[in-house]
Amino acid sequence: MRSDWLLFLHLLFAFVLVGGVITVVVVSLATRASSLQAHTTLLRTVAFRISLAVVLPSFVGLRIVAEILAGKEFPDDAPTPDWLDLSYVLTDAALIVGGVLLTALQYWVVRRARAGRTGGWQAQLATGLSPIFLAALVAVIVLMAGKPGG
Amino acid sequence: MSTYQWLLLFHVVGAFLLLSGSVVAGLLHLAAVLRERPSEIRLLLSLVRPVVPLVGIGSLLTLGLGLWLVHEVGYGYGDAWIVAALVLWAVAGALGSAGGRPLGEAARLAARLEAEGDEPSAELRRAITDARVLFLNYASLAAVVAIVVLMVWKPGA
Repeated sequence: MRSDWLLFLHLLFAFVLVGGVITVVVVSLATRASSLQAHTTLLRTVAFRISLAVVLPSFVGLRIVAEILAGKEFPDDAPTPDWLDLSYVLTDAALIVGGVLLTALQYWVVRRARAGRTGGWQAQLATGLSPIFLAALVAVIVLMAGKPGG
Repeated sequence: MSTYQWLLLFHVVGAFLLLSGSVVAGLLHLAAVLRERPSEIRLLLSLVRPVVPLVGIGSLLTLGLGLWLVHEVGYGYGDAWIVAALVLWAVAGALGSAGGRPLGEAARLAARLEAEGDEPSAELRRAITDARVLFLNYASLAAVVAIVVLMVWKPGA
């Protein structure tokens, strides 16, 4: 039996998470067009703060509610559908790489930018990782909403 | 996948574009409010612009595919929760549009002030923290969240 409250919370966390990640992508990509060091530092700081204050908390909330929802819909040893298993794999990988590692990398990039070093592989990796993170979330949305084979 | 699954998939994708796009606009606006220099405020508000079409597309997708879903599933177009969702959709669009325009003007003001020396300005601060604008944008977001409530609980369905 599905709880409507849990589904509502799950959706809210998901909307905020995806909104936060899109913001990080937009802000990170904007650093490529920025010619002023002060602006690049500002954009890197905004990306880091949004990752820390919006993306990570909503991701953790989403994952906890997802676990409770799945437990209610597929109790005990009931087999879970492939779309759910694949969603878990993608979500957990995204949480580790796109959530935790990217936020730590962004902190490093912000510190470097404040010291006057706005370039480097760290900045390029932080910018490049964020769209991949978003793509993983889009794949999960497709699996969750379309439930292919489910 | 069945027709229903495809329709639901793109309906949900539309909802993400609409709601997550609104979150993006809200976060960038908040980031702009926390800055003082017109150049920084202009930079952050200008990043909202590429997101606006996504919100528009999401808005149209949710409506079009939502109406198609009503037909596909067999709900009635006159069901109270569907009528309420349609009214809220129109209200959210009107409020969001009215709340977004002043922020576009604030971005143009920030660009002008940037060109004139980039000094902090009380006029610009008032423009980006205007209570009426904040109310319109938050009310628009609240209306969209209320639609999500209707879609999840489907009262009376």
